[in-house]
Amino acid sequence: MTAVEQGSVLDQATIERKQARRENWRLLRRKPGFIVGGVVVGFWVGCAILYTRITPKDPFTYTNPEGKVGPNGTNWFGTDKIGRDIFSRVLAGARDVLLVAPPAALLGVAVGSLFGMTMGYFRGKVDLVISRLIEAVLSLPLILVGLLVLTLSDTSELLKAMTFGSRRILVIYVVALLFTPIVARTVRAAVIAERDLDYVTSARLRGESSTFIMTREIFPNITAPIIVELTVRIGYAIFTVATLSFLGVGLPRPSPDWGLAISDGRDLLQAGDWWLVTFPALAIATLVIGVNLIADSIQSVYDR
Amino acid sequence: MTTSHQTLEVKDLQVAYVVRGVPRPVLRGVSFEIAPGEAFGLVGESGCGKSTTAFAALRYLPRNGRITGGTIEVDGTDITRLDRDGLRQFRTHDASMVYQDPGTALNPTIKIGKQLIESFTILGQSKTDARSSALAALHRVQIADPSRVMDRYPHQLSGGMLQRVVIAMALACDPKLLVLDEPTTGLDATVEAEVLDLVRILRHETGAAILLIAHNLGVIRSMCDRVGVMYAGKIVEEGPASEVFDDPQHPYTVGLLRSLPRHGQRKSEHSLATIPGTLPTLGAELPTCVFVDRCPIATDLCRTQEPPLVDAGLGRTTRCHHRDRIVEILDLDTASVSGTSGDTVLQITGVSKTFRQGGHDIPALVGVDLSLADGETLGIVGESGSGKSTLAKAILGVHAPDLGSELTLDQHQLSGKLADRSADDKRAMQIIFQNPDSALNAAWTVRRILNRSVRKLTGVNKADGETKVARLAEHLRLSPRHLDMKPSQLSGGLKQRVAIARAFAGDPRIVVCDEPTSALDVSVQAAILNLLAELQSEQRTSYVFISHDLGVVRYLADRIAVMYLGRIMEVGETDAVFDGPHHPYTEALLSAVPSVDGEPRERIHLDGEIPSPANPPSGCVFHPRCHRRIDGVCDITEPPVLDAGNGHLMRCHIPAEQLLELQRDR
Repeated sequence: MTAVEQGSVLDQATIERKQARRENWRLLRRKPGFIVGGVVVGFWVGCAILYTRITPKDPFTYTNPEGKVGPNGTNWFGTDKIGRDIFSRVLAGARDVLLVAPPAALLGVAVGSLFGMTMGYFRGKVDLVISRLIEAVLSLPLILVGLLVLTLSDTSELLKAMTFGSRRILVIYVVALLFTPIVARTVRAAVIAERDLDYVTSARLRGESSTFIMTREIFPNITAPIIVELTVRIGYAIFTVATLSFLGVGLPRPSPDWGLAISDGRDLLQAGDWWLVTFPALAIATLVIGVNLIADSIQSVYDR
Repeated sequence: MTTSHQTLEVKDLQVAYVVRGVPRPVLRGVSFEIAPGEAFGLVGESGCGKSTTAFAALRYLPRNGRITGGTIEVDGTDITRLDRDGLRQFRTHDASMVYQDPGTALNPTIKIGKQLIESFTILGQSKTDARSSALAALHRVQIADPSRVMDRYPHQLSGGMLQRVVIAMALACDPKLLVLDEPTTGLDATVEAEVLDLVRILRHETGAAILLIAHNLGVIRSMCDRVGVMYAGKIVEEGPASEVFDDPQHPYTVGLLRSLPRHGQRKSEHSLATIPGTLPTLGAELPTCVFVDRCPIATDLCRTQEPPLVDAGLGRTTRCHHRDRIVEILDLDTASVSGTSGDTVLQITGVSKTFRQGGHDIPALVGVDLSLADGETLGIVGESGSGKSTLAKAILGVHAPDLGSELTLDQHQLSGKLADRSADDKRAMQIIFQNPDSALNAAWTVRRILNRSVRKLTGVNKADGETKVARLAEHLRLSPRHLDMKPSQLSGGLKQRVAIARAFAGDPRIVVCDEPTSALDVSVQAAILNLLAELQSEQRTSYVFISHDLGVVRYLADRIAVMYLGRIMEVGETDAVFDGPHHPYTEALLSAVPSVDGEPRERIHLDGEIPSPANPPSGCVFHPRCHRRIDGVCDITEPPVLDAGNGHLMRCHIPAEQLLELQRDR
């Protein structure tokens, strides 16, 4: 084979590779799920950044002296028990959830990937021990973990230092802790599929360390499932943050957090005051669905 | 052939695959016909359109495949015009297909019997009738113990048995047309030979027309009456198999045949001919003659005028302007390589490897003794499961051998475990894998792959490393542009070059080649084998060369070791092993290889399958399958090591002289 002849073929190959990359974007942009998800998530991100300017009322002060009123011309979504504008609070609530859920998912995926890679690469006893630990964590109910950490955060100096006294960071830790085992399992499976491939044997034959093989050789080949896992986890994280707040072990008052709002309005639901719960719940639902639509689109493009 | 009644008649068939909305032509006017009871073979490099033709013959193209022209008539019916129901009827009753991988053709969760019965109930048989038909079908494909096989799941059967089951299913409807797409690729030569024997018998029984696709020219030669040579979506030459292979009339056929090591050709005689260049990419604009860019005798005429279909006599047709000049294609490069061997580099003594699985010991290697000289190639052959790759991995330290195994590299003791070996010892031994796709990290560029190996193995600084990578790439004929590409952008042959470059990055003493060309086309294989021979003669590297292709081993190896059930059965100089006396196992292996030269050879039938290494047979481990076994001796006593002279050793109870005599009589 001469260089010239190979050249013409390879030019083609380069072009095709570039086309494939562009193709990925094109496919993604053409997916209705991705567009709808992008618009919904974009809306909430916009709210999170700009809420101080776009909310018609101050979400933290009592704008209605009558206290609780139903949706009307001035308070579109009504007001809550103590007269705060629900529309403004729902918009402002995006900020809390978006400050907590994505970092929590990211942390969970990062730590989970680390465990997963270690388990998948070494197998044997390491795998066995970590697997049992993971099963133990997975068997704990959400509320128990939340309460436990919350209690500890009041007494443990270490935890105080780690969270810098912030409840948001504490919630991030709790969610990440709950996600780590699930992510670790996914990544472990991906690593096991890779570690018996010949390029890994080749790396061992030239004397590479395990750390090098895991981080430089295997890791770049399992980024696709990790990215998919991350997007899926962000969706779950939004839900989990809301759940923690609803259970009273998440973000503290007077946060406009949606889960908290649902928790506060819950007992009035039977009295017919539906707006207290419905609007924050809709907010959670739209954001989670939006994120999941994006996650599904990314997954289908990677799996193509 | 102008008989009015053909089973399959393909006329000017054109097929395109629609990629991103653009149709890309794959078949550009394919015409051929198959008479009832006739076997027609299609050969050609991967990507030439063989499989597309096969799928098109059943109108079973992928979703983006379109028939853009031509007709396909099966028994007088144009199947390109059939509607859904018609097509369904056609596929149920008139035609069947056997695929390459029998493991994926069967549903792993359903018992063999149930799947087989289904292919009879679909024909309208009652449950009980279908059951007896299924049993009869298994009898017909000569499966041992059919009623037990019915109760098994696919994973409980070997590859050869699965392929028999698939063939039984394909024959259920008594098809007029049977399409076999690489039916024996991936099977051992011994199993392949038996499956092919079966197809031959069934063909005469059923009278079905057979379309056989195979990349192995020997298989085509031994199976087919007529053969078509495909290139870039066209049949460039067609005719009776014996004529086409013995006296090719198209430059491409000539090139294909010359790139095979044939007639016992050795690297010391001359290097293999290659076909320069690569197949045009899918859907590319083609010149007038599809082969012109790679043809050694092309002229201006070939570039301006499409070659007509020429009658080349003896029932052959070819698409070439210059049929009279075919003889001019000479071996362009007949330089031979000298294969002198010197001192012993590697000595392994009593190497065993036992795996533990579910509380059972599985001895994969048992007391292997071998030596490897400086600049020598040691070929290792044997069926799959004979321990070839385990031996390679034990030598490399990837699977540490059992205690008591001794490995000596350049007169010093070598630790069994890779982790305990010194940097120099690691550097001394490298490997080239079978599958370049998994051997190269898909996320790295070629430059990074080579650079890392050079620097890790030789410990040079950054600048020297870069120079060395550039030199290495040049040596392996990789252009600088290839260096910045990722493996997925390279062709199979180029990928394997990168893998070879990586193995040679640290100037190794020994390179283990584990089936390095079995994933490649023959023309690419020739280039890789030449390269390996060249590198060896320049650098005096020793090779441990594992291959199931005896022709390739014969070409490259100086000595050959034959393995069976983790033991060395025979070892000796290549010529001695091929000329005989052979160990009976070697004799059977040699007889199983379908030859492209069509030398008639009586095949030795090996009974049964390779036993499980967990409980090897008593006495000689080969005795249950041996055609020369002496009852009362071979099944009781372990055979001694015979010396047939000149370091040619074998483990057999029959003396060498007697073996030679027995084998000469055949």
